Amino acid sequence: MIRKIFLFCCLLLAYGGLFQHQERLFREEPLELAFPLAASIQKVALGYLRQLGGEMLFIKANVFLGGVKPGRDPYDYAESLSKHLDGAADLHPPFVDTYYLCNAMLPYIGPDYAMEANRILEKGMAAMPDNLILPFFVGFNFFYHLNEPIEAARYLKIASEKPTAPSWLGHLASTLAAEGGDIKGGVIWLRGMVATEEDEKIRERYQQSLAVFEQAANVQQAIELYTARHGQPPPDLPALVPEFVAAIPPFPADYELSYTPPTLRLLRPHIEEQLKKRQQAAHS
Amino acid sequence: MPHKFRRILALARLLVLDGLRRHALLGLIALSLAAEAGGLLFFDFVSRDIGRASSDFVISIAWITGFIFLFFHAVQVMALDEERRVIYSLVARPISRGEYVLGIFTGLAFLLFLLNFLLGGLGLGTLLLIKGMVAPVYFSHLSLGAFLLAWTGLFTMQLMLLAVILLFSGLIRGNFPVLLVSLSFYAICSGLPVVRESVAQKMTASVDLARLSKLLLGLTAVFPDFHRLDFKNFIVAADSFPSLDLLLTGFGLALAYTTIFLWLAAVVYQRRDLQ
Repeated sequence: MIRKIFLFCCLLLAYGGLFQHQERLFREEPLELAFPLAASIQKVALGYLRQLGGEMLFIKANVFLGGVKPGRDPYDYAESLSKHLDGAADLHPPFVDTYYLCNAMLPYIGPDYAMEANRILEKGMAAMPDNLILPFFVGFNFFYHLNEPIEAARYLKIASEKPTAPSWLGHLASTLAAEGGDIKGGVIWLRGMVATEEDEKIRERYQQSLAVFEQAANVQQAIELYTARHGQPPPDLPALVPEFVAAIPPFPADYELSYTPPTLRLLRPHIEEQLKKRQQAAHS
Repeated sequence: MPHKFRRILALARLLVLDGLRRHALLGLIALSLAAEAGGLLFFDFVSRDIGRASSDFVISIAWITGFIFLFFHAVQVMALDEERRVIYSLVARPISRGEYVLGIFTGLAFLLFLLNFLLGGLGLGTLLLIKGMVAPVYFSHLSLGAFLLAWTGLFTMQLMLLAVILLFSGLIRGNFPVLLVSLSFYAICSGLPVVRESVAQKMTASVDLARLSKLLLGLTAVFPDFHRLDFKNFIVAADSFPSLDLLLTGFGLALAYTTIFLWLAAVVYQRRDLQ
């Protein structure tokens, strides 16, 4: 009997020792986020529980991100993270937390993952057509992470048309459109906003912007006339003077006309400067 | 006719008492209570859409509980009646085999209803508790009508599965094969909509895929798409509710499906060799 008790105690001790050793081994290993099964397989396996499955994928990704040590290369886990968030969006499209986490993490990894984030956010836009945050996120990613102001403007315009959208969103969209080279689009947009804005102070601000945009649109038209006559765009803006415009109009300090044949852009240099500083700070 | 109903209800009462005696209900309620309490921890992992995540969790727990009841209790009932030779004393009475099948269905359906009724109250209490604990922006709307609708959809699905289980119980001998076949049936029901979606995405002018699509459509009549009775998403949606047409079609179809399968189960059991 004593021998059996002794053996049992030894077995217990061995188990305890091995358990501690295993725990130590796993503590030293870097935290990994295993790839989830494809969403279609999860839909089959989960059936009625697919929404809960989507939420579980989100929680798994969220908990993993909470345990990632500072300084770890995000490309180590980027693919698996995007698959988790993509799966969560497929399994439960109206669950908004997935999209917030997606936009908070993926675009900062790199431009390829900013594109991936936008693809996931599009799923949310399809599921929640009245949600203004999701097209705003996509527009922000196109502008800030992918440097595509025209696309950014397109999504901000979508966001600005939602029932609860603040009025400044449309103004931002038109500014971005002009920055990307679509000055005429920006003019049309701003005219609509001036016509619909009820707040007098805001309308005045829009009118000031509209005046600048219309000046830029005149230059744009002159470039088009030059191109039609000479078969090629002007090498620079002074080439338009005086045949196509009397003079290149002066612009206020916070606007700058930039011409790289054949594209004319209306830039906001002080905003660009601020964004560059923020991007540098984020990357460092 | 009234005598027929009385006989069916008497058998159903026996089933309910047997279910209670075997602690089928009590055990499941205890399990669900623990799981619903887990819901209070679950919502802590979600930062924004707390209402949606909590309602999904509460109803999913009810589905899991009903699933366990159907596949681990209901599947055994007919097989156990044969193993314990209860069936002989039952059919020796003036009760037909068809009435026996209907009595089993009614008894198990009542137990399921009781289970859902208790879990529904528990779930609603959990949701109200969570709603009171978080800021309104994270759980802005809880529709009682949609909650009841989601639960009705859930219960309807369980009844459809129960009718299918009874048909398989008549066709196949032994509870384990019935369990396997019933699980396979449910897996096909869950998988078929995914396959249909995939085929629909790839379908162009291909005649083969068009044929396959028609075949899959036909299969959906036998292996129903339970997702169409899933109304979970409406519980926290402030301004949307399924149309009356959609509801009547969905529940009408489910009623017809359950009746057909019960009818078939009764016919099969009439011809079954009880040796």
